[in-house]
Amino acid sequence: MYAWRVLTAHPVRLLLTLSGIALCVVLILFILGIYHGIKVGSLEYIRQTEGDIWVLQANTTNIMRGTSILLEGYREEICDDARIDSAASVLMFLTTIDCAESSASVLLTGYRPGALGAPPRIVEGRELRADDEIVLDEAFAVKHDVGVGARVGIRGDSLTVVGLSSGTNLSVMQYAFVTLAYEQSLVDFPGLASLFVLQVRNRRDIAGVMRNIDARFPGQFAVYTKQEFLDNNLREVDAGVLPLFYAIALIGAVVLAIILSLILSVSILERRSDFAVMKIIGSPVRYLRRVVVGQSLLIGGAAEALGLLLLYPVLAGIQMVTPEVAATITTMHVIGITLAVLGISAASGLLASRRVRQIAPSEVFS
Amino acid sequence: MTRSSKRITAIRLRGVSKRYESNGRAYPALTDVDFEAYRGNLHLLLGPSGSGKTTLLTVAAGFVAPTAGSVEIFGEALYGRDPGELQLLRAATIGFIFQSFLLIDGLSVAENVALQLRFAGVTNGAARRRTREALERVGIDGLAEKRPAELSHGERQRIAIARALAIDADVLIADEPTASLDAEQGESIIRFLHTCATDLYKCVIVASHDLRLRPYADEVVTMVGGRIAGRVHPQEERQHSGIVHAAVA
Repeated sequence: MYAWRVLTAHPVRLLLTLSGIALCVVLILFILGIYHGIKVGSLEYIRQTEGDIWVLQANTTNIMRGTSILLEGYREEICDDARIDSAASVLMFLTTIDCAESSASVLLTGYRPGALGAPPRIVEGRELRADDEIVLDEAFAVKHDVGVGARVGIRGDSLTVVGLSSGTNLSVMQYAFVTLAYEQSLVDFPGLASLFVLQVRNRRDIAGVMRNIDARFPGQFAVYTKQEFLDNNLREVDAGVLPLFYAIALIGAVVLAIILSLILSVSILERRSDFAVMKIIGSPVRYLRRVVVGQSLLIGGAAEALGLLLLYPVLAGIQMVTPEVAATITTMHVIGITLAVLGISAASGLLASRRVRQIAPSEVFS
Repeated sequence: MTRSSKRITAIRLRGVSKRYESNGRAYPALTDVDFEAYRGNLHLLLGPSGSGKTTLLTVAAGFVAPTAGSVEIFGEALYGRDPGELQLLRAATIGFIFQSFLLIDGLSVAENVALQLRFAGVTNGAARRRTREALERVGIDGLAEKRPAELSHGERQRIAIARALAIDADVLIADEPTASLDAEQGESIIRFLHTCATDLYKCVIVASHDLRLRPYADEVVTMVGGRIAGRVHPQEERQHSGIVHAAVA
């Protein structure tokens, strides 16, 4: 009660402090959300594609930042194993899509309609049926004001947008899906593929099929289970963005700790005589510590609540301006950040409470 | 508390000296002070500013350890205890009535009174009851929810008194308790301190310039330059004077 009254004695200062910390909370949650969004966007395609084995060019570990060039003829040779149920070729490369008012790069992904390699989810429209059709990511469509039925251009060709997909937003770029034949025609290389996706009849045979591919084509392919391939791609995402996000999150946490320590120190200085009086009338050290830590937790808790209130309007604003920025904030993020804010608050309070020890009761004697 | 015929020493200072050091120089605040304060007595410390009155009070209350000498409270050494034990002792045994009131503005009147009870380990229910009773006793029970800043100086001093009453402090230490008060409020506080000594059998030690306290004091200690320069016992003098007058008559 005392802690709260001390804080509310200066409402403007309290509001500024809460706003500063709340913005740190928003920043950290937003960064976490972007990381999660990129992770989901980067891995969803692989996760949702029902392939048991992923085959790429030797020494290529991922599709995020790796280049793999294969010849489709090998797919048929690889399939010469009775344990394999189906195999699909997928071709991926970066290209530019021209919309009515703008143009942007996409990760163009070619697959055979009806086979593996399709978009993870179609949220509007339908899947591909013909070579002059394209499925775009929904965020890309919003940003470039393109809907189902619109026409977009790739290297002078005109394609009809027949569907919009989700789980295909890498934030910095989005997937776009065309038929394998059309994508091969773009590079004038009919037998070209980036990877093969295999399904085995019995999942217990996955390891055996992988060993067989390695034995039959030594050093020619990189062969992964779905989980290995997911892990490889996740490592690439993490290596690319995690250090940056950690740095920003760390800066946010440090700013939060500094604001808290500063406001607590000012509060202790202002209330120096109160602490001296408490010491005079026999306050135990733990009570004084509890007062300071209590103040810190109140500020941290209130700022966290304010941050969460601000978060969704801020996210909505960002989504309106840059729809391709995919920030996915989960309950776990909120719980994690809440615990972190309370932890930092408690630590800042404990640090600041050391100042109280230096206050001598005799300071208030006349 | 019943009054015994035998005097009980509440606070005893023996050969106490206190020196402060600054820039390599020593400043004596107290020099070789012997002082005893008893239950049921009001001890008045008189002396000019800087004479060591407040230092004596802070040493006696356990806030400032002496450079030399010993301090006892009810026969036991005050210093050398575990800090937690000393704090608990202070919370349960000593009431403070100071010129600056020693109140916390962020708390209500009742919370100010109850806080020391809480530090003394009194349960919440008992603390509420004792707080109410103490506020009634000093006549400010109607102000329980007010903040100290909303009250007059006299009312604020009553909060400090109520706090001391609530914990049933055996020792009351007062530093210039009437300095911020008008004449009427000052008289009221003086009478109250006297009542604490005579009726409630507390040991009351008052440092003050206010000579109105003199007639109520059992002992007047005059301090000069950190030393005790003189002691008189006005009440004994009055009794003695009464006997002489009676004999002459």
